[in-house]
Order: sequence, then structure tokens, then C-alpha cells
Amino acid sequence: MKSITTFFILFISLSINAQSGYEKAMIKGFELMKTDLLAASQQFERIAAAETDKWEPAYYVAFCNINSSWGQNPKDKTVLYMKKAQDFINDANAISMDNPELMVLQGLLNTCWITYDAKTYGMKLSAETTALYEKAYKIAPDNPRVALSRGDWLMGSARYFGKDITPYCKLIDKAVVLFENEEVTGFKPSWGKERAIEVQSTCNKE
Amino acid sequence: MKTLFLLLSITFSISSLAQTTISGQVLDEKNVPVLGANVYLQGTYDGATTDIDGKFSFETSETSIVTIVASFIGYEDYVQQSTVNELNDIKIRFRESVNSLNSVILNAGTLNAGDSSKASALKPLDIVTTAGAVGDFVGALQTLPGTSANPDDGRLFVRGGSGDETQVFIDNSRVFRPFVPVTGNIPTRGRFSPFLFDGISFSTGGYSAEYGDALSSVLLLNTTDIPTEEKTDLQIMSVGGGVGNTQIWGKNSVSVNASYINLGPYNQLIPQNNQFEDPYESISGEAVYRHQLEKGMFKAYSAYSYSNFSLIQEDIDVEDGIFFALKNGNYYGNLNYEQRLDNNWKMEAGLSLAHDRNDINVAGTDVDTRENALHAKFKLHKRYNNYFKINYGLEQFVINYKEDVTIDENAFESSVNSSNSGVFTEAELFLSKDLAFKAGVRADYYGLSKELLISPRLSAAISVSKNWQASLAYGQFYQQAQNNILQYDEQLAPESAEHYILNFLYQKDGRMLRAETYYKNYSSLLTYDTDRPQPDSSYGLDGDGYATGLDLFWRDEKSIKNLDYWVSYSFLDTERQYRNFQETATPNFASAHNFSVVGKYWVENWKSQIGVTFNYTSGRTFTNPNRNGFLNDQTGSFQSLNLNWAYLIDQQKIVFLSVTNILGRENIFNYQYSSTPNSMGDFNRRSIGQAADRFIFVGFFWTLGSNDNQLDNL
Repeated sequence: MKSITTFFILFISLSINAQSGYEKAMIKGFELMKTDLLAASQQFERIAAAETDKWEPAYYVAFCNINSSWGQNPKDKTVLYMKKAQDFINDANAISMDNPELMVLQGLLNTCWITYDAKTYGMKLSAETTALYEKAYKIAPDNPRVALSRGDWLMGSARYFGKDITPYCKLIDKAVVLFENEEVTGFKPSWGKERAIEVQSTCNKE
Repeated sequence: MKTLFLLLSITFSISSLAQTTISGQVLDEKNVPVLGANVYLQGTYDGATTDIDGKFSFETSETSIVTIVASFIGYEDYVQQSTVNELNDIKIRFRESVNSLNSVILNAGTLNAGDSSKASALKPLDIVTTAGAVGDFVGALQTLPGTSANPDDGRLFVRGGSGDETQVFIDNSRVFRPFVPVTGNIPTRGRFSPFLFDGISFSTGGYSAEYGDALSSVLLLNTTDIPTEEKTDLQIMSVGGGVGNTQIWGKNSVSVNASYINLGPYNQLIPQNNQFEDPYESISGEAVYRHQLEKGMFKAYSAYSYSNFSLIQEDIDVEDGIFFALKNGNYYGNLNYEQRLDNNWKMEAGLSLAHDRNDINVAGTDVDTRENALHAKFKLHKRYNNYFKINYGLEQFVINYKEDVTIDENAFESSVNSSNSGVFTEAELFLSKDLAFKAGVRADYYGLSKELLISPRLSAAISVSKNWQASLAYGQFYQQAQNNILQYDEQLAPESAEHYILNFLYQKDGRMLRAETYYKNYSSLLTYDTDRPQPDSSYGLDGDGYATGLDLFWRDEKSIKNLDYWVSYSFLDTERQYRNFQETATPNFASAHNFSVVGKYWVENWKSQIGVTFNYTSGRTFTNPNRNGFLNDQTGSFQSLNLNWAYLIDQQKIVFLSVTNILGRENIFNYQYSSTPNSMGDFNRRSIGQAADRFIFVGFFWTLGSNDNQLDNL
């Protein structure tokens, strides 16, 4: 699990010409993400509090907290980070309805809960997560993060039940192509390519 | 990192003019600097993260009045309004936030099944995966401490209380007839599908002022708020089948399910101790509609069930047995509306409506009962902060019950119409995360007896050390007599009980030990002077009694990999003088020792969960007329070993096998003695045992989700 999450700490292109205060503040957040997740989360939190009509700052607060939730000691702290992430996903959802990027993030957070306590959350969240990825796929079949997360999730289930994973490898292949053709604009999420390539390589091994 | 930060701050400052520096230090309650707190001016991007000394410093171009906010996980937000110039070298004192994870819990008397509380004794799935529970929502609760196993009855008997002393609530509205009516030694089942609920709170005493008209216990069931996937469920079982479907559109969802149970084929295969004429047969349907509001939720729940059976009941005095037939129809519906209001107020309104009809025939005598009932409730909740919350509520119960008895074409009719009102208020106060109090009071006006009764409820919790906490609870409880008695004497005032509870809880890393001791004092218990309640009996409230004991519960899901088990033991000492008891005695339903072990082992390679439950209950009292006295003898102990095996074929399909009392032990709950002595002057007897020595259940559960066609898109 750790290996998955570390891969989500990513490289966000900073090709935007800093103009407005909002853009500067966001860029500062992305810079911080490379070195200090907590500071980055707080930077985005400040922006989210000031920009109540933009979903991106809240998205990145949740994103940073999902990534910070790992390896917390005592384990109770993990829950606090996951709950904080959920609060900000909810905030972002209130601003931007039916946003596939937020569905992917929710799926990721669900995976964290399942890893945290599979007995309590496994059965409860598995079906929900599957449904979420399917919904995101229906809305945005060409979003590479949707393609990757959905393929990765389905592959995990198939592997668990000892089923053939080849069909899911094809989904990952498709995700990799989508990543290659993705044009990132503004502060829209752009992570996932490295993870897609990593998953693809496990496919080729088996 | 720090240099980068400085660098960025510098770059930023170039672009703006007239900067003011805001600086200070963040400390916690013990004056320890807080590292990593977020300090910023509300509505701006200006802010910083505190360093290892809790210090922060940042520049702002704001002038005049600003709002400074400091926040960090685990602490309450700090908010202060001030002019920019005053925010130089300020001290911010954090207060640790009280949340369900780090604070004491007011849990004396309560056992939770759910993930919302850290002190959950059971997890939601335990309700269906506990061996011996066979899908009954109260089945798993029978393995918890504080209950006396009565497998011949099936209801919950809590701490020396009878089955009637537990009230059931769905989404805080009362369920008037939660159990399917049965007779003799056939255990009843809960009417509701266990899959509907995602939180269950079972209180064995000392419960909140919100719940009235219950002497011993309340069982609170909460339906799932928002279903997350559209799906169709199919169930094929050795005793019947079921189908369910969930649809979601926008902010709405509907879940429906229907099931049909017929024990006929099963009874043919596996010998029953009862002689059925018509096998037990039931058909039931449930529907839940949920609508998510911007700041709240609306739920409508509706359930109908119909069941019938007939059998020849053995009787020591009647050679051919006694014919008994029962048809039951039950409707239960509830509406629940929840809305968050301004200033942290929340309102909740609930309405439940129920209709229940029984057509009973006992050896040619017809007994028909009709009950219509209503419960309306309105509640306001105010959260001042995480430390102080208060509840206010009022409710109304209306019950209309009618019984028609026809013996040899002579009809006897009796009825009762009761209308009771209640108001309550309760405050919850956390002095710190280590010390909490709850105090409440309710007033009930019982319309028939014109009694106004006040019930105080108090509880407190204190943390003793990092993993230990102690809690206390006290409460006064009242409950009106059952309709079948009230119909003969409407003036009967409610029975009463006082609870005193002391609880210790230890929790660490997936292990939990709960020890609880209690004393319960019954007074004004119902008495009458005939064999059974009759129109001409003389009724009174002269009974009394007590119950005291110790409940232990240990759950461990950590020590052995893939094994999750719990052990509970209850010691109960109770005596009472009530109904037609000749003297103070321990009633037949109360047993001194109850012990259960439940284990669940997950076998990864088999994708299977194997569960074992062992129950032991010490002997129960009965009256042996061959000796002097009343309730003067004791049956042997009850023991049952139950096994279940759930095999996950894939994400959508599960095969479930369960065997109750696998060793086929012949358990005896009571004896029926002949009313006349034999030629030797002794009274003959027959034993009242289990409905069947073993119960075998095989089921196949198939969920067809919306994701079923996931490969079509390739």
C-alpha cells in the first residue's frame, strides 16, 4: 500500500505564468508538496478557505492528507488524517458535482480505509468503491486517472479471487496511452502516469 | 525546506506593498509548543506553518481588522478578530479537541455494533456472520453479556428482565411488534432484515432520557443513510428465497426486498420435535426510500409481513395434544426527517405507524387481536461546541388494541385505547477529554392511569489511565403493562425499575475488556390472582424484585492472525414477586450463569470464514409439584455448539452453511406437570425441549451490481 501512495506524490507541471494571487498561492502549494506534505496541505487549506467557489484547493488538501495518513503513529492518527481528507472531499463535491477527479480521490480514500481495517471497511466500502469508479468511467471514459484507478481496482479484486487479470491489463494499457495524450491545463490534477507504468510492468511479469 | 519557504516568501513580498508582519507562538494546554499548526488570516492566502518551537511569522498586505485562524489536527480551531497591528508576537493557546477517538465514552450499560464508536463490541457484519445467529438481527446480540439465553423464546432477556422489558427502535421510532408471534418452544425471530442496518446500539441498562417506557433494555437500530451502489440481490436458502433491489437517482434512492420462507420441505427432511399440521410459512417485504437534502435527510421505511402455521402441541393432560393455529399480519412504517439548522441546531422528526393482527385458534377457541399504534417524536439538538451538547424532545404514543375471543359461539370482546405523552431533555458535558457527564430527565404522562412520572437519568465517565476508563450510570425507568393485561384493567399504573451501573473498559490495539456490575431494583410490578390474566382477575401493583450481577466481555482480533473472537460471561442473581407468583423466586427465564465464546477464522486460501459459537446457560427454575414450594427445582444446563461456514466464490457470490447445536444435545428448558397425581400420588411430567435438535441452514447469496458488465467496454 505504501508503495502505491508514494507514487501519488507527483510532479505537477508548473508551466503556468504566475499572474493572479490565486495562481501564485497554488504554485507555492505544489512546490511545498515536493518537500513537505503538511505545509502543502496547510497552504491549500488557506486557499480553500479564501476561494469558496474553486474545488481544486480542497481537492489538494484531501490529496495531501490521504498521502499523509500512512505510517502515522499512534494508528489513531491515521483516522484523523483520513477524516480530514473526507471533509475536504465533501467540500469539493459541494462546489463541483459529479466530478470524476473527486470520485477517483474518494476511491483512493476508500482504499485507505480498507487497508486501515479490512474487517470493518472491506465489505462496506468495496462495493461502494467499485460503483464509484464505474460512475466516474461513465462520465469520463477518457480521463487517464479514472482509467487507471478503475483498472487497478478491478485488477486487485480479480487477483484476490485468483482470476485471470489479462483483461484488466488491457485497461491499464489504455490508461497509459491516455496519460501520454493528456494535456494538463491550469491546476487540474495531473498525477498517475508513473503509477500506470508501474502497474503495467507488473502485468508484463505475470 | 525552510530556505525554500523563505525564498518563496521573499518572492511574494516583492509583488506587494505595505506589508505587515504577523508573528507569534502556538502552545498546547500544557504549554508545549505545537509543531506544524496552520496559522492564517481568514479569506486571504497569507499564513504559515509553525516551526519546532511553535513559532510562526508571515507578512500580509491586509490592513485594519482581520480574523486570524490557527488550526491543527487534534485541536480545536482557534479564531480571533483583531487589527493587523496587534498581531505581533501573539500567544495562541490550543485546546485539545474532544472527539470520539480520544475522549472517554459514556458507555455504562451500552454495547454498540457499528464503526461509529471506538467502543464497538460488535462490527456491523457480526450481526450476520455469527454462528447460530442465522440471519436474525437479535441472534448475535444473544452472545453479548447481560443477556440470558432463552432459545425457546428467541427474544432478548436482559439482566433478570422478561422479554417484554426490551423495547426496539428503528431510526429512533418505536417498533411495536418487532418479533414474529410464535407459541410454545418455537423460537421467534426479528421481523427485519439484518442487512438494512448499519448501526446497532444495544443498551442493557442506564440508557438515555430519550427512551422511555422500557424497564430493562432498549435496542436501537439505524438504517443505512445512503446506499452507494445500484444492485440486485438474490437469496436461495434451504428454507425459502428472497430478492432485493436498490435504485439510485440523483439525491434519491429506493431499496426493496421480499422474501418467502416455508419450512415444509425442511421439516420433511429433518425431524422436528413439534407435530406441524401446516408448516411455518411467511412472506415479507420491505421498502426504504431515502432523499438526501442539502442539509439533511428524509427516510421512509415500510415493511409488511404475513406468517402462518398450525401444529398439535403436546400436553401432559391431553393425550392427542392441543391444536394451535396462528396467522399474523404486520405492517410497520416509519418516516424520519433530519435537518441541520443554523447555529449548530439540528432537528429530527419521526413518525411510526403500525398495524398488527393475529388470528389464533387454540383447540377450537378463536382469539383475534388487532392493534393499531402510532409514535410521533420531535427532537432538537444543539451543539454549543465539542464540549457541550443538549437535546430536547417530545413524543406521543397512541395504541388501540382489541381482542375478540370466541368460545363455543360465545363472543367476548375487550379493548384498550392508551395515549401517552413524554418530554425529555438531556445535556452532555465534557470537562476534558478525560471526564464527561450526561444528565437528563424525562416526564411521561400515562393517559389511562393518569400518572405523571418523572425519570432522571445520569451518567459519568472518567479515564483512569491511557487504556482504561470507568463509567457510572443511574436511571429511573417505567413501563406500562402489556395490552393483553391492560385491556382487563385500564387503571394499572406503569411498573418501575431503578438501575445502578458501574463499568470498566480497557481498550488497546484491537483488544477490548469490558467489566460491568449493576444493581436493578424493581417496584410496582404487576400482580394478579389467577392462573392466567383474565377479565375477572384481581390486578394490583404489589410486586417487587431485584437483579444484580456481573457482566464480562473480552474481544481480541489481534493476537492470532486471521482470528477474531469474543468471550462473554454474565453472572445474574435475581428474584422477584410478580404476576401470580406465590412467593419471591427466580423466574424461569433467568439463569445464573451465561457464557458464550464466538470465534471467526478467515482462511485466506479457501476464501472462507469459519465461525464457531458455544453457548452455555446454567439451569432454569421450574415448579416441581412433587416437592414443597414454588419454582423449587432446576433444569439441567443448556449447551449448544454452532458452526458456520461462509465461502466467498467471488465478489458477488457467497455460499453460507450453518448448523445450530451440531452435537444434537437435548436441551430442556422447562417441564409441564400433570394437573392430577397418578396412582402413586406423584405428578407425571413432560419435558419442554428444543423445537428441533439441530437446525441446518444452507444459503446462496448473489449480488448483481451495476458493475457486472465491466468487461463489455473493452
